[in-house]
Order: sequence, then C-alpha cells, then structure tokens
Amino acid sequence: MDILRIFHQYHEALLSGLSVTLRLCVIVWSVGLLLGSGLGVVASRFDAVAGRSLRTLSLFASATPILVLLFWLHYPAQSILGIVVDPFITTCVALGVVNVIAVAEIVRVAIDKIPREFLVAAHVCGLNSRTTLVHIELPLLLRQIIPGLLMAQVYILQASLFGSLISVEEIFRVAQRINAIEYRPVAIYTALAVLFWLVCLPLTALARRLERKYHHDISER
Amino acid sequence: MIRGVGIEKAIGDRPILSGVDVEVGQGKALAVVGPNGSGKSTLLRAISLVDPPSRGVLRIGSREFRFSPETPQEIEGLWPTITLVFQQLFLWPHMTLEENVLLPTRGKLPPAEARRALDELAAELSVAHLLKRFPNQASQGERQRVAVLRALILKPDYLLLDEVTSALDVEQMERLLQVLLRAKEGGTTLIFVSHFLGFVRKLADDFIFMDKGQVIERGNREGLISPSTERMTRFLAFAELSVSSPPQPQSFLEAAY
Repeated sequence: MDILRIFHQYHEALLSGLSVTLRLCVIVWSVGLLLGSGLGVVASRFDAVAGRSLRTLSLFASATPILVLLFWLHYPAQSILGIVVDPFITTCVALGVVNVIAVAEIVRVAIDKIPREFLVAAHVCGLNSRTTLVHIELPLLLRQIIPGLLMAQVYILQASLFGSLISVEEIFRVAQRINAIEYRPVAIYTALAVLFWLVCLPLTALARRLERKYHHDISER
Repeated sequence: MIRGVGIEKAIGDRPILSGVDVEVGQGKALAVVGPNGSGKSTLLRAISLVDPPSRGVLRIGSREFRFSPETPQEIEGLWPTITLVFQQLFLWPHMTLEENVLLPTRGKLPPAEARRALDELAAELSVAHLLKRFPNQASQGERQRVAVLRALILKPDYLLLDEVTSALDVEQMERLLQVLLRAKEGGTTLIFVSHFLGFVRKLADDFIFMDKGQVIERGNREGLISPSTERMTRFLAFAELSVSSPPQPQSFLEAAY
C-alpha cells in the first residue's frame, strides 16, 4: 500500500509531471503528423529531389541516438549560437525533428506502395480526381500508414522520458525526485512502468492488429 | 467504332506492339487471341488509353488521336465511355463488392436507377449473394464477374475485357456470355481477350491473332474454325486441348486479395 500513499502524498507533483509529458507529446505528435505528412507527400511527388533528401535524412536520423541529438541541441548548439533555450522547447525540437522525419518516411513509403493500378481502375471507371482521392487513394493510404504512425507515436511517448535528462519536469523526472525523497524505487518505477503499459500496450496491440488486418489488402507487389 | 492504324507501343527500346491495325464496328465484338506475351493486354491498354500507344492513329467513335514520340500529347481519357476490365481486375480492396460497383455510378446515375441496374446485372451474373463481401472474401471467378459488372453498370459504348473468363466454370461463362451478348445488342462495342475458344466463337464477330506484337491473322468467326496460318492452327490446337482442363488460379491475383 506504499504506492497508494506515495500517489496520495505526491499526487500534485505526479499530475504536474504527467501534464508536462502529455503537453510535450501532444506538441511533438501534432508537429510530426502535420509536417511529416506534408513532407511525405512532397517527397513522394518529387522523388528526385525531395524523396532523395528525405531518404538521406531518414538514414541519418535512424543512425543518430535521440539522446545524442537532445544533448547536442541542449549544450553545444546553444553554446555555439550563444542562446539559452528552455529545456522543454529543446526537447520538443529534438523529438519533433525525429517525429517529422519518421512520419514523412512512413507516408512516403505508403504512397509509393499503393498499386497505381487501383487508381488507374478508378479513372477507367470514370471517377474524377476528387472522388478517386477521397474514396480510393486516402482510404488505402490510411490503412497503410496508421499502424506505422501509431508505433512511431508510442516511440515518441517513450522517448519523451529523455527530457528528464536535461531537466524537463516530466513524469520520469518527478518520479526520480519522489524516489530521492522516499527511496522506494521498486514501487515508484513499477508504478511508472504500469502507467506506460496502460497507454503503450493498447496502442501497440492496435497497431499490430491493424497491420495484420490491412497488410493483405494491397500486398500485390 | 474503334479503328487503330499502325499502333505501336514500346517499353524503353523494346517494342511490344509493332504496327498493329485493328478495327471493330459499333455493336460488334472483336476477339484478340494469341499466346502469352504476344501483346494482347498491351493492345487493350493502348486502345483504352490507359497506356496510350507510342505511335499510330486511334479513332474511338468521333474522336481521333494521333500518337508520335516526337510530338507527345496530353491524352484526356474517354472513360467511362470506353472502359477496360483488367486481367488483374483491380477491385478496390477496402470496399465491399457492392460499393465497388456503385461508386462509379455516383453522379452519373440516380441512386435508384443504379440500384436497379446493379440488382439486375448481379442476378444475371449470379453474384447477388456476394455483394456485401469484400473482394478478399470472394473467389477469383466471383471477382471476375463483379469486375465485369462494375464496367457494365454505366453502359459503356466500348468495353474492353482482358481475360475475364480465366477462372470461370462453364455455367458462369455461359451467364457472362449472355450478358455480353445483350450488351452487344444494346450497341456496346466489345474487344476482348480470352483463351476459351468456345466463348470466343460465340461472342466474337471478328478476331485478330497476335504473336510477338504483330497481327498474324485476322478474320471473322469462321476463321477461328479453319485458320489459314500454321502458327494459329498450332495455337488453336493447344487452346482446344486446354479448354478441357480446369482453369488454373492465378497465384499473384490470389495474393492480391
């Protein structure tokens, strides 16, 4: 019952940490989904320049640990530029960049994977461009990208904990502070794990289910 | 009517069609026969303007298109006045078969009329009981009939069919034949590819026999019984034999759904 006492005693701090984590995630998710989708569409339409650039960026992003990027933005970048940026904003930027690139690549690959013939069939059946986009292209595209997007956003939620390392007062940092006072690592970190399971497990399971369900649909290539 | 003169199509440097002439009158049916890889599907895609010819003149009704690699032109498709049922069908996998058929009618037919046409054709093609299913819940033969239904519901002037009989049993082929004969009587011009000679002989008014991207022989339906070239005689002999064998499922199509 130790954990209940800790929850009760530190509920304000925990809620505050949770709120910071959620704000961070909502910002990074929104930026990633909006900019990433747009960038993915552009990269698919203009493959020679934008597509190649995105693939290169994606390669570098996948080879750069988030923590290194975060620390680089927090220390050397700010030192070089002679500025001081709120750690919350630095974390938003670091995770935002990662999310934009990840979402863009998911969207680009999905657009490229839609068999063109489904769209040709739409034209041959006399569908105009708008109807083809709304009823054929977007639904097929969404089925392809939703599982990947869900997984990427779950990853961002988990990566948001790195913000604690540059003093963002998110849920993990709050848990560390409470542990420093109470020294109940098993209870506190188990509670934190359970909290993340509650959010991440359903999303991961949903993503995998959708992936299995929709994979067969356009597996023609 | 459809008339193509000197139709050529190349992919890169490789010629697929070489100077193909083709003509079919309004309300008539032209069968395109020939071995695999002879350019039949490419010809249908070229005539339907899905993949326009590299060179040649194509007349579809009152519209004439001149193709030349030196003077490429933007082709505005005449769909669905002319429509093509692909060999791979390309039914949209996220929609039920009913939605697949009704979507093209939006804005073109009043919903009640579209419904009536759907019910009528679905009954004739024996697919009425399947319409709430998704394409991956239907067999290849069932999908072939629905794909034809999707093309026919708007009563196209020109209907091109690429091997839509490959997975049909004899009874279903007969049903399809009756539907297509009635469409023909209604003025629809047909160009179709089929390896089933019985089906070809009953539906076609004329035929062309293609090999290696060229028309080797052409004639009316009697020519399918007594061909004049050795190449076609040999092909028909094999085709007759294959009619007695059950159609083979096309594995990549099965995988598509």
